[in-house]
Parts: sequence; C-alpha cells; structure tokens
Amino acid sequence: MAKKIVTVLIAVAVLGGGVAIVASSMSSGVFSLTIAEAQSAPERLAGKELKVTGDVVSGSIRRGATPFEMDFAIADKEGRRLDCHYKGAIPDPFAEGREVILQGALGTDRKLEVSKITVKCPSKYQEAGIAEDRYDDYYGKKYKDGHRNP
Amino acid sequence: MQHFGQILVFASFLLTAGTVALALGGAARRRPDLVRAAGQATRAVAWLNAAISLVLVHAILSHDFSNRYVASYTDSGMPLMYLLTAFWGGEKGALLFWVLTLSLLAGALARVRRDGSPYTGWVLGVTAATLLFFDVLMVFASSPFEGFLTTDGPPDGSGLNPLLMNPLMAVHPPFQLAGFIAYTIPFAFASASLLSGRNDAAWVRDSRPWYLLAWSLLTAGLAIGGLWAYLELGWGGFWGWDPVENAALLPWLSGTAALHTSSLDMRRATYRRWNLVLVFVTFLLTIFATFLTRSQLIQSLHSFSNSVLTPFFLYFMVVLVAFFGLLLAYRWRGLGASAARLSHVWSREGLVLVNTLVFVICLFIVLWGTLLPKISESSAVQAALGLEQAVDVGPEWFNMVVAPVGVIMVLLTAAGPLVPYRTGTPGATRTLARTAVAGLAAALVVAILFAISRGSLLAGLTGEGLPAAAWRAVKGLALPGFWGLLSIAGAGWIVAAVVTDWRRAAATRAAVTGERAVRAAASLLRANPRRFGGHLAHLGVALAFLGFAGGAAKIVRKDVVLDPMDRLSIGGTDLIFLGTDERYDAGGQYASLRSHVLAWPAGKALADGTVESLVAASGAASGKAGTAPEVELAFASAAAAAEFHATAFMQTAGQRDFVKVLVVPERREVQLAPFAIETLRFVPRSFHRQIEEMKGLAAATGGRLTVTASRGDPVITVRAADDAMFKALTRPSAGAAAWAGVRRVKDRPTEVAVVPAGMGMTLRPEMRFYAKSENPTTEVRIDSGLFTDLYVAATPGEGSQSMSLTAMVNPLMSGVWLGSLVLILVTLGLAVPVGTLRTAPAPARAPEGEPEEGVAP
Repeated sequence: MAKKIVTVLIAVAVLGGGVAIVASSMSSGVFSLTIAEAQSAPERLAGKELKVTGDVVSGSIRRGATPFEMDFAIADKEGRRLDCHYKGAIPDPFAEGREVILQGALGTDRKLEVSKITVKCPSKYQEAGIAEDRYDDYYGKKYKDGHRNP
Repeated sequence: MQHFGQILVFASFLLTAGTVALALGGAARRRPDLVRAAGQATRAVAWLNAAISLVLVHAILSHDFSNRYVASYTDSGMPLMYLLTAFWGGEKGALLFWVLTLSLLAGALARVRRDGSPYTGWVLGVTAATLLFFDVLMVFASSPFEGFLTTDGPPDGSGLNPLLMNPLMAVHPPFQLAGFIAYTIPFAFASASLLSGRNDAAWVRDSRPWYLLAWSLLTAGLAIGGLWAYLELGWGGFWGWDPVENAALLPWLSGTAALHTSSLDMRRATYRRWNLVLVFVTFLLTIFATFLTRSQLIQSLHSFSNSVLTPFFLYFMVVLVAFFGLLLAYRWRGLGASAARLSHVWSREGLVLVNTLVFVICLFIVLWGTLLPKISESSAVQAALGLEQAVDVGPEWFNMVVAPVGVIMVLLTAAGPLVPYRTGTPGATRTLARTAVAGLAAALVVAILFAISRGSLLAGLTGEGLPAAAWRAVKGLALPGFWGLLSIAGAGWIVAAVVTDWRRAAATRAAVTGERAVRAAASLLRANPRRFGGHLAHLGVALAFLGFAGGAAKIVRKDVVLDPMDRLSIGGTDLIFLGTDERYDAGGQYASLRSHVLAWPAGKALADGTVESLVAASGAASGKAGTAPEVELAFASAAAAAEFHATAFMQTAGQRDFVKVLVVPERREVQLAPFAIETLRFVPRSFHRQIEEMKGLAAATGGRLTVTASRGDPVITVRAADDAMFKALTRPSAGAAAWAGVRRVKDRPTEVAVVPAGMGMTLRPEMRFYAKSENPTTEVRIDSGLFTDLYVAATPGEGSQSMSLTAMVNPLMSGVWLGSLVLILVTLGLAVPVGTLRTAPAPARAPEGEPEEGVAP
C-alpha cells in the first residue's frame, strides 16, 4: 500500500515537474531565426529576445565611442544582411568573416540590438572554413613558389 | 609511410572481426578454447593498434606533411608537447585514439579474465564488436593516413589555434574521450550477464573497478574542461550549458545514478533492472555525445567541421537500442523474480530510488534544453506548444531549473548514508535532525570566520574596528541566492553527517577491537572501502556544491575603462591600474601587452611617495600629469629618412602602433620593437630587410650610429656614438611629420617593482598577439583565495595609455576544483582492486555497528 502511494506521489511530482520545466523553457526561451526571417520579421517579434546566426561582413565593423560599443553587420550564405549594434565586452575571436551567434532584440528600425555575442571557434585546430575536398586545391595555391603565401 | 599505416589499419580490422567471431562463437557454443583464443586475439589487437598509433606519432614528430592529417593540425614550429596532443586534435586522430584506448582496455580485460567461460566470451565479444564498429569507421570512412592526391603535401602545416595551446586543453580531450570509452566495459559486462542468462549481481561486482575508472575519467574530463574555460576564456564562468558541454554531462548524470543503484544491487539485490538500464543508457549516451558534437544538429560554440561519421553513429545507436532492448525484454521477468522488494520508503533503498529519479530528471532537463532548438523546429511541435518560431534556451534557464534539482541532490547526499536499510527507525530521524542542525551551525561558523579573516586585514590597514571592517568586507560581496544558501547549508549537513557516521563507527570498532580511536577511524577505510570511500566522495560533493553556490552568487563584475593610476572598487578591494608594458616572447612567438593592476585595500590611500615610486617603477607614463611625452625619430639626411619611410616599417597614428620606441638615455640608445596584430606576421619575413635598411642608415652617418638586431628577437637597437648624434636621433625635425605615429611608450625597460610588503598584490593580466594567429588572446589573472577568487582581465582601451578592465569577484570558486579532485582521487583509489584487504580480526557480532538491520547504534 505504501508503495502504491509513493508511486503515485512520485508520478505526480515528476509530471508536475515536467510540465513546469517545459513551460518555463517556452517562456524564457529565445527564438532562433535565420537572417531572412529576421529581415521579414513581423511587428510582434519586435522587442523579443532572438537568436540569429551569420557571418560578420567584411568592412562593416565600426567601433563606437568606448571600447565597449560597436556597430557591425552579419550576412548569411545568400548575402542577406542584418545590421547590428552591440554594447559590451568584445570577445577575443570576434573578427570579419567569423561565424557568430547573436542574441538580442530587433528594434523598430530592423536593427538588432545585440546583448550577447558568441563567436564560433574555427574547427578545432583547422583552417577555418576549408572543406576537406578542397584541401589539395587550397594547399597547392597556398604554397606556390615554395614559400607560404598569407 | 601512409600506406604502411593503412595496411596496419586494415589488418587490425580483420583481426578484430576475427576476435568477435571467436568470442561470440565460443560463448554461444560453450567452447572454452575458442573463448581463450578470443582473449589472445584481443591482446594481439591491442598491440597492433598500439603499433598503428606509433606510426601516426612518428609521422607527426617527423613533420611528415605528406600526411593530410599531420599537415592540417601541426606545423614545424610547434612545441613538442602540443605536437603530441595533435594526435587526438582532429577527428581522425580522435578516432584512432578511441580505437587505441578501447583495445588497450579490452586487452587488459582479456589478461584479467582468462577462464574460457561463455560469460567471459560474451564480455570479450561485445567489447570487440564495439571496437569493430570504430575500426569500420577508420577503414572505410575516416583514416588518419590519407595523403594528398596531387601534391606531395605542403612544406609546412597549418598549426594550432593558440587558444588551444594550453596545458589544460591539451589533456582535456584524452580524459574526456577515455571516460566515454571506458564505459564500454561495464556495458559489455551487463550484456554478457543478460546474454548468458544469469540473474545475479556478479556482473556488477566484476565490472565495478572498470566502472569506477570510467566515472573518474569522465569526471576528470569535465572538471578539466571547466577549469580551462574558467582560466582561459575570460568570462569568469566554467560551465556555459553549451550543447557540447551538455552532451558530455548526460552520461555523467546517468553514470552517477548507476553508481548508486549498482551498489545497492550488490548489497541487497534490488534495482537490478534499473541498474542494467542505467548502465546501458550511460554507454548509449557516450555514443550520443560523440554524435551530437560531430553533427551540426545544434548550433554550438564548439563548431566542428561537418563530419562524415555522423550517420554512422546514428545507425550504431539504433543497433545498440535494438540489441539491448530486445535482450532486456527477453530476460525481464526472470530478473524481477529474485529481486528484493522495497519494503519501506524511508529506507536507504527508497532514498536511492529517489536519488535515481532525481538524476534521471536532471538528465531529461539537460536533454530537453539541449535539443529544444531542434525539436521546436518542427511545425507539429510548434502547434502543440503554441510557438511561432523555433526556440532556444540559454544558460540562465538551465541554471534556474537545475538549481533546485541540485539542492535536492545535496540533501539526499547528506541524508542517504544515515538512513538504515530496509526499515527506517526513529533513531535515524533524530540523527538526521541533529546532523542537519550541526551542519547549519558549521556553515555559519565558517561564514563568520571568513568575514573575520577578511575584516581583520582591512581593520589593520584602515584602523577601524573589527566588526565594522568585517561587515564592510562581506558587504562588498554578493550573496548567493536562495538555492545557493540552501546548497551551502546542505553541504554543511553532508560534512556533519559524514563525521557523525564515521565517528560512531570508529567508536564501535575501537570498543570491539581495542584500537585507539584515530586508528580505528583510519582502518575503517580499509575494512569497508565502499562505505567509507563513499563518505569521502560525498565530502567532495559538498565541496563542489559550495563552489556551485558561489558561482550562483550574483557575481560582482565591473567593466571599466581606466587610465593609469585610476581606481576600481570591487568586492571590498580597490584595483589600481598602474599602467602597461610590452614584451615580445620569442619562444612562444607572441607579443604581449601586459597590464599591471594593484589590488589594494578598499579606501586606503597609497602612501605619500609611494605614488611616484610606483609609477616610476612601473614605467608607465602617468596619464594624469598630461599627455604622454612623445619622441620622434629623425635621421641625419633626408635621403636616409625617405628610404626608411619607404620600407613601410612605420605606420601613422590612427592605426594600431606598429613600432614601439624605447629610448634609453644612459646608453644613448633607441630601441625599435614591432608590436601589432595585423603586421606581426610580417615581421619574420621582412625583419631582416629592416635590419639592412637601418644598417644602411648607420653607414650613411659615417659610423656614428651603430645598429644591432637579432633575428630571433626582433628588436632593432640604434646606438649613437656621442651625445650630439643622440640628440639628432631623438630631436624632432622638419621631416618628422611623417613619424607622428611614433610615440614613446616608456623610457625605462624595467619590471614593475613590488609594492610595500604585506600590502596588496599585483596582478598582471596580458593580451597576447601570436604570430600565427589572427586574433589576440586575453590571459586573465586570478588570485585564488580559499574563499574568493579575484579575477582580472584587461584589453586595450581607446587612449594610448588606458585599458578596459574587467574585474570579478567569484566567491567559493576553489570548492569546485577541490571537490572534483577529491571525487576523482577517491574513485580512482576505489577502482584499484585491492584483492584481499587486511582487516582486524572479525569480532563476534556485527562489526562496525552500522545502523543496518535496524540495530540502534
């Protein structure tokens, strides 16, 4: 008898806990968007926390008045562009061409007010972005004339 | 050499396949000779894989860049230690590492189990089958012995990301991988038990040392990873709830649950089915973790290149689930038949069940949070949950949800060992209450001691009363939240419970055997290692949770831009930014911008005279006294100047300073040193050209200037023969407008002097610019106290002298590392099979007076 009560209690606790967990993940969740979706985002997403991934566009980085502020833009593989503004410590690996995961909110001007930047480390010890099938090509060009070209 | 390696790989594959056949055949047909042959074959495979690894190591060490793997992950300048770590640095090498480790473990297993029983045959067979899977990957999909098709390979390799050239990061992958790999053995034992139709806990006993080894390796891998993140990544935390981190945590969670259920299975024959399922799930999760990290399934900070192995792991997991699921279903009822019933909830068994549930819940939380982005992508799920977009959760959510679960774990850890088996008794309740109160009191005492220690330091310096100083010291820190406080109280409870149980058992033993109390306490560990080793491990848990509670405290953090001699007040301490200096490290091939930060008692003024001496010693020009003095180079003739300019050695202001000019008046010397990110990589190639230019300049002055430079250490020293030449060298001249960007950064190349003894301490965070890397790395400096860590990082500010400082006070951080260390060492110690323990002569009645069997102590 004791065992049955305990089983029921445990089941209720687990279920209740499960519902609470799922619900909390929904409410504190951050929407993941592609750049295309962010560009065409409807009004109701304005001000909500979003997550967008893209490559930092070359030449778009503009440092602000303090070292803790900057403007930049990211683009996806098709070249769609999203302007961003960030306030905070700039992570070490942040640079043009790097793939970044941004968390922030869309302003009314379609500019992303970024609260957090995560820069993807280039694949562990590897040259960033070189697919294996292009190694021969890449290394051949890189070491033309017998010395290493930058 | 590549071909030789490939041949060996193929041979290993064939031999492993043969081993599988021998082992499984011998087990199924009850042929001891076949099983023994399988054992021999397993050991031969281990040797073969070791040989293969040696071939790869040789290729790496001899810089054989015709091997594609070697070319991708090493270069000729790499230090030896990191060359060796490149073995497991890339995916192919990691695969070979997996094969090597698993076959070494299997070989050891075969050495230990030399009976030809079917049970052994199954164990060897399942292990070899897993090994075969990885061999298949190596042979058909991802071999470390590929060459280049069209070239003979590049003359130099690509080298290592300097973020990873860190001793901690070098050892993290092997520990992590070894932890995953070692779980194969317990899985093999579990499968063997089911396959051979046994219904006892023999497999648990047999696999226990392997299990503990695997658990301690996995814990070590996680702890080292966290420590590296804390020390190197500059955000002050050690766990980011990143998908890859979570993936490694999952098997640890189920593994810890299995640790407890297996202990009960051995003792009480309960939770047999739970135990089997948990061990299997742990193994499955190690494969899942590997799958998750290699695939692009979830967006993660740790991005790996798209791996071809991903679908293989997926199929393997399906096969595993099918295999074990069917096996378990087949034996299900038989297993239940002889298991003991859970008679009373408030018994040790009941609490272990609750503990298991808690771990499983935690597992699901982590799994849910990690997979949510992928799950919520499907429109069906979105419709069901009322979402419009895919959703992601961040570390805040994880911390919020896991905190209560963690606290429940702590409370169970304290209460569990005190509660008797089978039936709870009133005595236990009283003990629980008493130890809880004792633990709370202990935690309070420790907190007060902490406040006193910090306060007395302040009081001595500022002259105020101790209580006021103590209050001020503590006020500056952040309080852990509700769950954090509960964790601390819980940790106190654990300590009180362990001490109580140990003391009582020692007293009883002393009474029985006549040993002295301390000796009795020590011999308890040898007499009953599982129980008392468990106590020690729980102490490690208490320490770790203290650290977690500290991490949960709203970390006091400030990001400020400071000029030299500016102060930053944080956590009861003032940080005075003294200034910067630069140096070039030829061995590590990096230039470093080093900031000197003095941690000074809050509010205390620097003594008169100390300010000037500190500034002079630090060599930093004081931004307060006006703009930094500037020196411009001039040359004896306009032609020489123009020639110098043409080499583009100098860059004008507005860009990062390329050259630092150090003027040393006593020696009539001017030193030019390069220092920049973008241009640093050009230094090695063009530096000797600069030397030639400067030598030409020296010749143009008729020898009144001498130029010395060394290739290994790129500093050009220009020395004037007499004062007149020196003046000319350092006097601004008409043609000097082009040199406006050259500024004197300091006029004495000396180290920072130490401040008056007993006061404060200097932290020197660095910014390093590696020649071979595209981005700088921030080297933080941490002053690790017993109770708090002071954490400082500095990056260049906008002005010439200012730096943006990030400072944090992290309370109780050392708890995490100490706790992990205790856990790892205790578990390793328990894993070593002690054989026959030397115990005191067994007394007449129940030896240690454990509160089992309902006997009141």
